[in-house]
Amino acid sequence: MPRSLGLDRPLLTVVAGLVLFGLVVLYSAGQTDVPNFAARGAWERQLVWLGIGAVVAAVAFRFSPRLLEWASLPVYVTALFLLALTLVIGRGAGTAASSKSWIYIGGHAIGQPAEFAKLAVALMLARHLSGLREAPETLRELIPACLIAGVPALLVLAQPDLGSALVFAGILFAMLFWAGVHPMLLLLLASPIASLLLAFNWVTWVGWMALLMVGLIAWRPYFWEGVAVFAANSAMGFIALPIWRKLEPYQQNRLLTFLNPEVDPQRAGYHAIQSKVAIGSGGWFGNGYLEGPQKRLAFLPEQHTDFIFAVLGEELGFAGVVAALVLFFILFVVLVRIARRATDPYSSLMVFGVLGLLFTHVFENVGMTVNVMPITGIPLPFFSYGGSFLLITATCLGLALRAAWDARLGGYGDI
Amino acid sequence: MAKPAARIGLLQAMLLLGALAVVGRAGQLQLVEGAKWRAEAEQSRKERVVLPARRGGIYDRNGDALAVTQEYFEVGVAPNELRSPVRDARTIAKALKLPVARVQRDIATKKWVPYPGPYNGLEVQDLRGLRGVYLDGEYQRHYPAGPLARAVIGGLTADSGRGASGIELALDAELHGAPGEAVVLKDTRGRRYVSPSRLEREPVPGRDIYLTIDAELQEIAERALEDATREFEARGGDIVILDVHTGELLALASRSRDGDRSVTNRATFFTDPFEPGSTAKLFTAGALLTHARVDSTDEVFAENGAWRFPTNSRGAFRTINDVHKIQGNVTLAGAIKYSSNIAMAKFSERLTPTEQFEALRAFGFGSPAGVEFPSEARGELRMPHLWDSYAKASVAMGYAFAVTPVQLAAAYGAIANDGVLLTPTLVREIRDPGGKVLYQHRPEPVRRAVSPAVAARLRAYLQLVVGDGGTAESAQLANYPIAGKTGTALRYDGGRYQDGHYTASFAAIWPADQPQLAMAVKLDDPRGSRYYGGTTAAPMTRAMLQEALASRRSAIDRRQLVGPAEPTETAPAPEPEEPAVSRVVFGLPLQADTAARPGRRPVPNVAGNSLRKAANTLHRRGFRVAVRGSGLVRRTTPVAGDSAGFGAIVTIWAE
Repeated sequence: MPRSLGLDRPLLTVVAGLVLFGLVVLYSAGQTDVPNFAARGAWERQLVWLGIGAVVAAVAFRFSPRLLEWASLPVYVTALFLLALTLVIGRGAGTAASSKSWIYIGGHAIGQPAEFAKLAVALMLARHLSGLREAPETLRELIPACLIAGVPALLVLAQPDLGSALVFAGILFAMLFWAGVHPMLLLLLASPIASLLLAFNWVTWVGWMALLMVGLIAWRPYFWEGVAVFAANSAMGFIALPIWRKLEPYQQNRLLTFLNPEVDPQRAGYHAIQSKVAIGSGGWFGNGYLEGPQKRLAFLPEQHTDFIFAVLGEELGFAGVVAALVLFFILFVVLVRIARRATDPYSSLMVFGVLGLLFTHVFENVGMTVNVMPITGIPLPFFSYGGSFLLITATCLGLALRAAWDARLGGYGDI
Repeated sequence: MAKPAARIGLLQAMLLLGALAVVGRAGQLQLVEGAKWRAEAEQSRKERVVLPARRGGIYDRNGDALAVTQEYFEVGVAPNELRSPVRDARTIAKALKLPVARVQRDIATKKWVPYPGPYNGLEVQDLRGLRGVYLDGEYQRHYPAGPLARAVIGGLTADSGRGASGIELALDAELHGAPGEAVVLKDTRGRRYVSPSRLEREPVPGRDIYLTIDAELQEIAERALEDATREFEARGGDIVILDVHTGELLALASRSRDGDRSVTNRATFFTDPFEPGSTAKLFTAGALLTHARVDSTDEVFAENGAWRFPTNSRGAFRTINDVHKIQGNVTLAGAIKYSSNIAMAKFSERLTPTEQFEALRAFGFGSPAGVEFPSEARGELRMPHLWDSYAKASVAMGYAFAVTPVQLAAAYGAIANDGVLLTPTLVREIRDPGGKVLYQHRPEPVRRAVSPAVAARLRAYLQLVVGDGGTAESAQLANYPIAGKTGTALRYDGGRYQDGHYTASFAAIWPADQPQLAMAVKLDDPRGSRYYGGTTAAPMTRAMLQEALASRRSAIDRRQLVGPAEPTETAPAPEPEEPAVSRVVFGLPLQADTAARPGRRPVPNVAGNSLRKAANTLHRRGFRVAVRGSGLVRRTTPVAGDSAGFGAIVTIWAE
């Protein structure tokens, strides 16, 4: 049977739809009254990247799961090395001008190792989790997985790039969930972070700690684990302020302005407000394709990269927003289906890791443009212009296609 | 890898929750709050802008531009937006007349290259529509005639472009126009986009003012004054030339001292009164003739040039001297011709103070002439009941009252105009931007000052002055006779008359038989060897008239100049009749424009100045003045530098 016939049609279709939609919006993002040369030619350059991405996806498709599983460790180590290297020789560029996230060779920006590391973490986690005999039941058993995701996350945070670090968390939790970890355990794992965030107001923090006590007693983990979780939560509550003080002013501002964009409408809150205004002014059906005035007059920041969803919202309105999100939703459902049908745990987990990666990106990016998430500056898959992330997305999809193809040839059939 | 259904369900629920959160939030923004954000978006990108109206021009009577507003451009180049930097650099350099190498260097090295210019519309024509080149237009006042008549034209405030002085201020409401309004799009950096703008209100350009000034005559007058102040080493002076039949001021020149500099930008012909001296003898003569207190044969003894005038019954006296010492008796005509103070003092005894006062008042002295000008002095003429015993004689000699050069010229104009005093005017026409005449000056008679017969007699006297042996012989022209009266008055300064300091003047009408022009020429304190009006101001007048006749286009009506006229001793006096001019007065729309007079302004420092100068300075700044003491100004309340409102009283403390 020719291989092409075994390709996963729904995945190809929805990806084609998203790529086309993305190109259409990217073209519009370049149509401005205020000359913006970075945005104007972006769609053409994106076409080139899409071509390269197709090749990359085809190559990724060639990797058998066994080869991939074997390669996971070297890839992961390489990723760590590159991240460490970035901290030393990295420079800012483009939308992340102030953080050291790019690797330059001979004066040319080569890529963002953080994007590569996201895929590497998904592969490494898949390898680790698929090797477990049973799903982890204690927090202690989660430590290796946390380290696999945590080390690159910390390296990325040091760049500093909060958005990408969150993506690692998204991948970790998605894959742990898929590996069969009890949701309550995941909640306990995440609880110190919640404690950290809630500690800025002692009333909410005390409330949280009370809730945590109730949860611990009701679910009854191992005693010492319960104590550890409670201690971690308490500690987070106490170190919250010192940590806050250690944050860079722009990070503090981003967090503050996420809570209330009007704190600093001209500077830190500017992106959030302009994005909200542009999307809000779209109404039901938008201002018309290419016609978004806020985009045309350069009120929208980074309209061809991080805030491209605001262009969509302004020009195509709620209808366009829903259409895009429906396409993404279908993509996720398709990926879940592939993960379910996968013939081996590694492939299944890997595909779910890819899903976690893409979902976190979409949720974080769209959430940021509609002001439900803080401004973190990570790209929207298929829409934002950018080579590194596009190639990683292509690789992910190539691997997912391979997993779907393997499942079909393996003949396990649907469940 | 099969999964428990519960886990799949939880997963789907979480995915759906995530999607709903985002979609719900998008719905909230776009559907629920949509209108609010739309309004905010519009507000952020739309801006109401004031479209400035082009200020009306000021032209001379023949349409020569004196002050016009043009649009000037500042050019800015954004090098990264240029389509073809090499070609565009050449275009820019050519248009702005800059070296190509410089423009290329600017474009290569800078992010934003401003060329402030200013460049006119023609120069930037080739740059319009060039991407990356931004033109910032601004209206600017331009004076094609340079400093010509600037004292009359005045100036604009630096910030608002409204009239600050002169005609610019007096007719600001006419000139200013009405600014328009438009809504334009702007981008984040505040740069405006003109094309999709919505015009709310079209700007209405200001109206054009055609002055009565004749640019050529004005230039002749200004040059004559400049030459004369240098030649006679005078502090300054004034020249006023007006059309006797219409009251139109044809030339107004002034020169005054500002520190060490000689300046021409002060309208002293309106603002600075002076004691006219002998040029005013004619008005007392007019009163004597009107009341028939003398006839052509009446004579008084001229006392051989020196006379002790008794000022009270106890033998106090003041000595009156004549420069031109007359032996024996003299008629009124002779008193004028030789400018005899003694004879005039004696003749004035035949008048009551009230009669003399009324004669002067009839000629317009003591009240503003009524020119369309922001500031005008009324001169000084005391009420007759305040006159002391010497005042009649003083006034007859041209002392003890003060007139502005314009008042003097207008009064001579009345004599030339068969006795009817006309309001001097500066504005000939007001036209809308389309050229339609909205206002046209008609002669505005004030009153009949003297009967036509008396006017004719007075003109005849004036002809004697410039005739053989008269004091202004040197003013006479060969072909077209001039008639005028000289004056050499002691200057009053610091509380007393200053020996050796004079105001030399000459007031004249021309041509003598069919007058067209009335002139007042005044020189302040000539320090050279010559200082008499007859030897300074009179020859100046002649020189001016010669130049005016030689020029092609001055306001002299040559049809009236038919060959040399024969001098006539006394013109046959036509029967007095009421002036034929109907009193149709077009009210100039001179509404008080408060915007043109911003509320508070700083009090200038006038310490050390004379009272007169200080008061003048303060008046010009729009203050009223109260004087305490005399001499030099020590201080003011409010103090200098403090600010006070328009029309506020500033008290001068002098010692």
